Amino acid sequence: MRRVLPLVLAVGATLASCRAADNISAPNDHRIGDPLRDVTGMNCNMDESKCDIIRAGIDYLLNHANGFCRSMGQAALDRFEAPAATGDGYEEASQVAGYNMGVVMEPGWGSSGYAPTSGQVDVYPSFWTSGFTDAQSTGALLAHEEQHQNGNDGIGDNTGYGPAAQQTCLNTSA
Amino acid sequence: MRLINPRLHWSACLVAAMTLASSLGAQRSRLPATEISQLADEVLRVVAAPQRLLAGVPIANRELAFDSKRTLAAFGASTATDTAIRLARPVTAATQTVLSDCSQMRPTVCAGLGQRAYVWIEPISLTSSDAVVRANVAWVDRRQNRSASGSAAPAKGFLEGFSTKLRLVRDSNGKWTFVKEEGTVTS
Repeated sequence: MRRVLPLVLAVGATLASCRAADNISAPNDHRIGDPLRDVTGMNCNMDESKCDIIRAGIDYLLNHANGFCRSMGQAALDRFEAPAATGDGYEEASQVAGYNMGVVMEPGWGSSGYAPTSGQVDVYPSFWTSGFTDAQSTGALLAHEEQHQNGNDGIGDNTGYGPAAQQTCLNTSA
Repeated sequence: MRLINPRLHWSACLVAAMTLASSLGAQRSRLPATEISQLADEVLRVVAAPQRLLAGVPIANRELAFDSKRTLAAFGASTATDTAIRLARPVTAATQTVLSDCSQMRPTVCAGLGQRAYVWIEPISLTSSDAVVRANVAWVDRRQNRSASGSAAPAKGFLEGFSTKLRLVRDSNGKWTFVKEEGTVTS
């Protein structure tokens, strides 16, 4: 009985929440799976305020004194503005380990021996609570993730391109 | 204005409830610590091979800081003692606190982890004969600041990591064996 009771309660709670959800409907409700910002042509599947933080990081890179960081900013902007059909973009993802952002990789074409499985950068809940969502820190991390996206840094960060890009772009001077 | 057909909505809810029931049922397939140990050894063989490089350093030249407590808790064996996992592979004991002064966002000394690689394992799905687990590995890349550091203090670095999903099956002898990787997230 002790093993069955939690099961019964959990299933009951699920059905109850479904019943509650059944009573809520509004024309502008966001449905799971609907992109939030596609109406503006930006492929950022998060709340607008969160997309603004990502966009501020991109702007930081685009205005950086270092040309490499500006190029990383352009790559990040292209990803941010990619049509939804490409699968590129920034997506809120379920937390993995303690990561703030990440890219799913597999052995492939990259100079690191790995390639991203898609053009998507996962943004994890811990990023928003990291205390480093300012444009400078965000932009530097975006530059790191671009190194995974272009195949220059696989798993293990063995080429060092990811951390090097992050460190370079974290510095506000060239 | 209703956006979803009510019949479809309730069908989806019933499927969700059945999936939840099935998932809770699967979680009851808990493994004894001896089996978690053997499974963990097999996982470490795959994701933490001694020759594998992390930030240019072979794992053989780093110690593995294995978080038994976190791994046991993830497998639903949180009441087991931390020493319940006995690995064939030499590791040092660690908890999440070794990462407390580490950051993916800013270079830090990350003294608790030092040169070691922090590892823990969590089940994604688990039955008596089939397991999908996620192995999480974290380390610090200190290469960027090594030259700026004095000789005594460790150089600051970014916390890096990867998490790999692995499928394992249990053979007729009860031994868990790696089958394939199912995707790796890198931070």
